[in-house]
Amino acid sequence: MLKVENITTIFKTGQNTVTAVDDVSFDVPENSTIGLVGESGSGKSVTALSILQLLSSNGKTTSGKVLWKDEDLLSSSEKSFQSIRGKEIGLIFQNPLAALNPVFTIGNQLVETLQLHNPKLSKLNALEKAEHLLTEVNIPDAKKRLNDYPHQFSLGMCQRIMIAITIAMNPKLLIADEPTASLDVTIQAQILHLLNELKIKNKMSILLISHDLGVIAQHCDHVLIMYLGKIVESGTPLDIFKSPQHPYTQALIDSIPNPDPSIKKEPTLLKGDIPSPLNIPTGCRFHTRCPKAFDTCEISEPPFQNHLKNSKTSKVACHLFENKPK
Amino acid sequence: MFGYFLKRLFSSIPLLIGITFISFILINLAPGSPLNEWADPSLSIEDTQKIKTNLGLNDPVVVQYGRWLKNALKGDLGRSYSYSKPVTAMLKERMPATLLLSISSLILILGITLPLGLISGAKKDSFFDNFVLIFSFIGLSIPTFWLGLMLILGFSLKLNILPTSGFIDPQLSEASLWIQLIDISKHLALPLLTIVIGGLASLTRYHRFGIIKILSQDYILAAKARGISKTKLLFIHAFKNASIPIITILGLSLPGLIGGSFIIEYIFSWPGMGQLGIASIFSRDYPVIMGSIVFSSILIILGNLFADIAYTYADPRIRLK
Amino acid sequence: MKKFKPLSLLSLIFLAGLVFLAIFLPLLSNTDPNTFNPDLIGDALAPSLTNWFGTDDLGRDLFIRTFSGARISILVAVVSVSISISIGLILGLISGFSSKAVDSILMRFVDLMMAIPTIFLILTIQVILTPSIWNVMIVIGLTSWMGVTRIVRAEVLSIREQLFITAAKARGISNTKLLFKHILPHTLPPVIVAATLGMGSAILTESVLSFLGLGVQPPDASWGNMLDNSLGYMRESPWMAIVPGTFITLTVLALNILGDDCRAKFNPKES
Repeated sequence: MLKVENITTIFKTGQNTVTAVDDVSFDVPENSTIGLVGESGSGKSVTALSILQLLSSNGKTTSGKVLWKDEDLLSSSEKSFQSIRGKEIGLIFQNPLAALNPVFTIGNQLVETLQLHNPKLSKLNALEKAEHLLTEVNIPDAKKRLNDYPHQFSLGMCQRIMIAITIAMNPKLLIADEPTASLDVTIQAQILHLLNELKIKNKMSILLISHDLGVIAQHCDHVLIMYLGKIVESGTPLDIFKSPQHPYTQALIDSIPNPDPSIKKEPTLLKGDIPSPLNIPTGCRFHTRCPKAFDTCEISEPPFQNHLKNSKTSKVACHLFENKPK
Repeated sequence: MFGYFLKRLFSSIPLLIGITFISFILINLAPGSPLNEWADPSLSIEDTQKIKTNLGLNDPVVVQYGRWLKNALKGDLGRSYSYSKPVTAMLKERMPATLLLSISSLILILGITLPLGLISGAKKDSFFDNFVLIFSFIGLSIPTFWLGLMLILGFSLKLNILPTSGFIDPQLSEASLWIQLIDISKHLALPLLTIVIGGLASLTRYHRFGIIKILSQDYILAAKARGISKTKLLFIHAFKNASIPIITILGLSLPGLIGGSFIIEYIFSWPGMGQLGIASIFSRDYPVIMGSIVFSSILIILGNLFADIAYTYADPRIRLK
Repeated sequence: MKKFKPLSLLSLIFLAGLVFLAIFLPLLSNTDPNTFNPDLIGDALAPSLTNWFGTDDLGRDLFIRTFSGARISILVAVVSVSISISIGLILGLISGFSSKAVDSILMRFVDLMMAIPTIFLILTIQVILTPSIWNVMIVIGLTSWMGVTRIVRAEVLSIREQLFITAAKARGISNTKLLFKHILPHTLPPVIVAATLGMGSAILTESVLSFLGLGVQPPDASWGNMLDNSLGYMRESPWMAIVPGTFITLTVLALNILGDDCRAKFNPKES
């Protein structure tokens, strides 16, 4: 349904050019949940903004295609884009309070979106529908609360409202950019559960972006691991957790703390910090921190290929696997 | 809401008393007595002393202030030394001209600032934006009284299309209301233009900055992600957010605007309170000076009060606390 | 640090040139700015090669007088801003550091001073005192410290709450040392901005006062009293009004541009 093909997005800051997303490709099939994992600065949010072309004015997607139902969004006009944003592809944000306009009631913001993509809808019907949407995302006393302002809700409730506004037009794809990162752990689970419910009910797909591999593993059909603007490994959650290939993925999995004190494991500690995106290392961009790096890694960039015998879904970009037969 | 309004109104009373107290003390601590200027020079020293005692001018300043305040609370601001008319009556006479000038300039300033700042902020760094920025910088730097002089030079002395000063041509006192109104607007044009150019600059800069800040917020991005058009985003979503700080800034800039329009009234001989105030300063007409200070302070306090209320009303985050 | 914008550089050059000419031109020139030419009384000359800015009604050269007036403006700006910054810094630090009671009394006083139309107060005081350049500076200084007080107080309050201050306290650093070494330097950038912008408004206030005859007294030149002097000759000799006003505008404009650029530098988020 959504096909992202080799997109590259750059930002200009002063005289510097930062490549935030570098030649990234992936598919989001119908009725599926795709997880995009990476640390901060890995380019996962920029990938989301590139799909909808909501980059800040100094950012630009310089190459590649974003195919939505076989139409390239990157070459479509701003006008036709507006009808796709919100109506067919929805976006929810990390900080729900900041994503709601503080000076309008939530009823107002819901009705605006409903009427925007359906101009014939009367105000009264729109309000009714808004109330229904709020009930659907489990906001108690929905009718009364339509007249409330964003700051009168808890953060968790704000995220539910944001979800309600976003699913108002029944989008076929929901991009959720760290939807639970600013919430308490117990609320996180509720929100993720809600998203999953809505996905089945509304027959939509979800692109779930998170830095938390644990969150991704439970809810996704397919996982993409991103490092410094590139996808370094992809596969089903089973592939990723049972046989992680890329040393970076291994380190990520190792870093998930286990609450059981009887299990003691030595985590693989990575050297140093994430390099600045202004100064991306040559060759494999992970070699500066990789515990298994060797000479080739510094010189050439590894191709992104399938290497695993028992899985057709897994792909990895690492020189360690290059000489092994398929 | 009404309760809040009353509370704010009452809390501004000590402020008003403070302002008048400070002004009164400053004026009356000055060496020399106003009587020396206004009394008949042929009076003997004893007679002068007698008049002084009768007027209470020999009492300590604080006592004099107490007496002034007591009368002021009853609505009596004393009598002018130079015109021997009640100060309140003189102020009342001058009020319509001042209100006409200040209200029309306020409306014009807001009417121009809001769209100008909005477009300028939305098209940040464009040619238009740079033009607005430079224009507002000049507006901030130009002395308003000189701007007034230059406008007189251009429009009255060189082009000869607008009158240099005054409120209405005295020859038109018999003319129809319509012709009188046209003549008043002709007289109003230059002082109005001067005040508007002076007041526009800082407000436009604030508004532009507010718009730029708001356009970078997540909720604007979120609204865009919902497919809301750029025009709607700007004129509905960003506009309401950015108008809130403008209300406050407007309230804060009132002292400057009122102080500035005093000088403008003086230059254009606009028969308002400002002209009266400045004339009374020159003639050391203390009761009129105090009256003008009281009146302009009340205007400023009321303006701030309305700004506060409008602000509270416009920003739900404050309203509902 | 960003480089200076071209406009700021231009402003800096203008101000430097102004200061230079204000100091040296009246010293080097053999024309006294205040002596009038008896042959030319009542007949102001338009700008020409001999008198670049023309002459005034008393035949005095306006070029010399403009820079002699610049001395006054610069002096007023520097002295009155020094006064207002000193008061503002001290009261702001006290307000930010002392108990709630002291703080709220001080802040009410600031509110009160801000609600008075200052120009009115200044005019009144100037009429009462004998008008002189020194009174102008003191009066402007004493009526324009409120903004600085607010800025410094807000800065102290926000810094006081920050973790690095708590950390310094945890290391056992004394309050006085904390104030002078850790807090005061942080309040300086906004104070520098306020000082630059304050100089502009001091020049404007001085020009209003002198224009109304309440500031610098003739025959000494100031941009304000040159404008006052031009009033009777506007139709025939407009340059007498245009020259000093243009200099006021350009000087204040240069100060505003510099102040704004400083603010953008100190506060990259706001630019």
